[in-house]
Amino acid sequence: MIVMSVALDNLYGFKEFSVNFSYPKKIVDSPLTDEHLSDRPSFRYKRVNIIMGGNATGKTTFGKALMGIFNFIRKKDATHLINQICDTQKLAHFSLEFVAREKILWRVETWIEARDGSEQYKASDFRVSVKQTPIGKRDTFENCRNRLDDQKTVYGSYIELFDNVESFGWYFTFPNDGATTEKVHSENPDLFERALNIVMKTLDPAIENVRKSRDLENSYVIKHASFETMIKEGKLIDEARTLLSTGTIHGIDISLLISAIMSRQYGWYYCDEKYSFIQSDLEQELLALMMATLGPDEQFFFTTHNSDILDMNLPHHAYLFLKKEGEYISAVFADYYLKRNTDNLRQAVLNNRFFIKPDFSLLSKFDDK
Amino acid sequence: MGHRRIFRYLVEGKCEKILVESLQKMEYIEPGAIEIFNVVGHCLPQRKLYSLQPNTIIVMIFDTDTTQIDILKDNISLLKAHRKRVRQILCIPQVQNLEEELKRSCSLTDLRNLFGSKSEKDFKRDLIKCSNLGQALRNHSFSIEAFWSSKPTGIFCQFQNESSIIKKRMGKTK
Repeated sequence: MIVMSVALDNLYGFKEFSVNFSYPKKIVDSPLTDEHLSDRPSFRYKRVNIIMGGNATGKTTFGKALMGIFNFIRKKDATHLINQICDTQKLAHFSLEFVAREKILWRVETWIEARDGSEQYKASDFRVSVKQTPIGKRDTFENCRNRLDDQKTVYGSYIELFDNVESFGWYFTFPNDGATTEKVHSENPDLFERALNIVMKTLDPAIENVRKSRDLENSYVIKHASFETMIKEGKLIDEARTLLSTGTIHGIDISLLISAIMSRQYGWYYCDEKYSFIQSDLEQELLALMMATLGPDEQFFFTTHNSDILDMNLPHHAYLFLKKEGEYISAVFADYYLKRNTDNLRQAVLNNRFFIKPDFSLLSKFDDK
Repeated sequence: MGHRRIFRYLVEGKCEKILVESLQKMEYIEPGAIEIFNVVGHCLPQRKLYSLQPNTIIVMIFDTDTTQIDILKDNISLLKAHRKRVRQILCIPQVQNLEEELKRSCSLTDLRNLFGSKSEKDFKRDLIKCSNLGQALRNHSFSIEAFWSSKPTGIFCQFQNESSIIKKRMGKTK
């Protein structure tokens, strides 16, 4: 699954927001290979997207918005979307362009009617349009988009329209969620066990072994030099939370994500701030591992506050900066301002080239006596 | 004004890692992160390229008692292709291997004498367990000039010994 573009208005805190995940020109000597749809070398897309930005700039919310949209399309579940309309007295809108498993560019556009708070939303409040175009051998994203623009827009009921949309998979992981974990560790226990052994021992060398429990399903035993504890249903049992470091505990979710990528079941990944408690070098190594493990036609999103990630050997277009001005969130890719691969990204961020530096001026109030 | 330089050592095994760490602590060689990776036996995985920092100097330390150099050459080519990140690639061929290098630099005919090991197999285990390898080396008049100073022969003769670039002039005496 590949997300090519997203537009959001009056949803999830976004107003008139849009972002495009293709890039126009082939990059010479890019360390990221296969940044195009397989067998479609001109249909280029950003395979890896490192999302950075200050606090409250939408890094997590953007992921939640995509999750809401995906659930709406795949499961016809509009609950999450409805609950995230910023102003119910105004129209809400999203547009998503994506490629699922076949070589087809889909565009799903939805308008949600304005309501006052007291009325329940009905299916008829959703004006949905679904368009598709096959992707030819020489097609670029722009060609395909133009063909979609030329098609007549027909709105209909999402309950019927979404039956014709190709299915696709996804994997989200947010700082405090657990919902996406169940399927992974129960369907890929060997992969998960292997990932746990490698990751947990790297995070805490005092961990000797992690193995599947012989007595309980979906459970793993962590053998530490000083104690033994358990992971059940992808989570550490409560009593052990004081025994292992916070970073080590996060290793469980990291292992789940790595084994999910290795399983090739999902095809699309959004990893939101799972590394806040992980040492910087290790975060870079784990991120490098996940990027290298991605399969063809897959896509990865990774949010972080760690500026050391700016020094990684990645093309500039892999870095997306979110910023908030008033109530508007906007997105800018690093290659918008940095046109040459030799331009130093970290220096550009330090010099606020992308205008994302937070405003510290209020802190001077602490200087007031 | 000097350029920032980042050294990244790639060594074949745990013994080499411990030894390189000791040489760094003794300030005989430049400091840098050490990774266990056999550059003669395994192709560099893609993920190693993503974490390359700008101005990285890769130091490859490898034994020369094997018969295949194709993978080593491929790894060097791959790193050279990332010249914007990899400032330099230094090869340090160990002639023939770490044990021989240690014998020459400590003037020992039998390496078991370094730790009082019962056998050669025990020697590696004793090296890994040694709590102060630097002191053990000093006790046997270790010479950094003699260490990693031989020219390889045979198929490895095409690889220059570039250890002088990472060796420092004066080490720590304690």
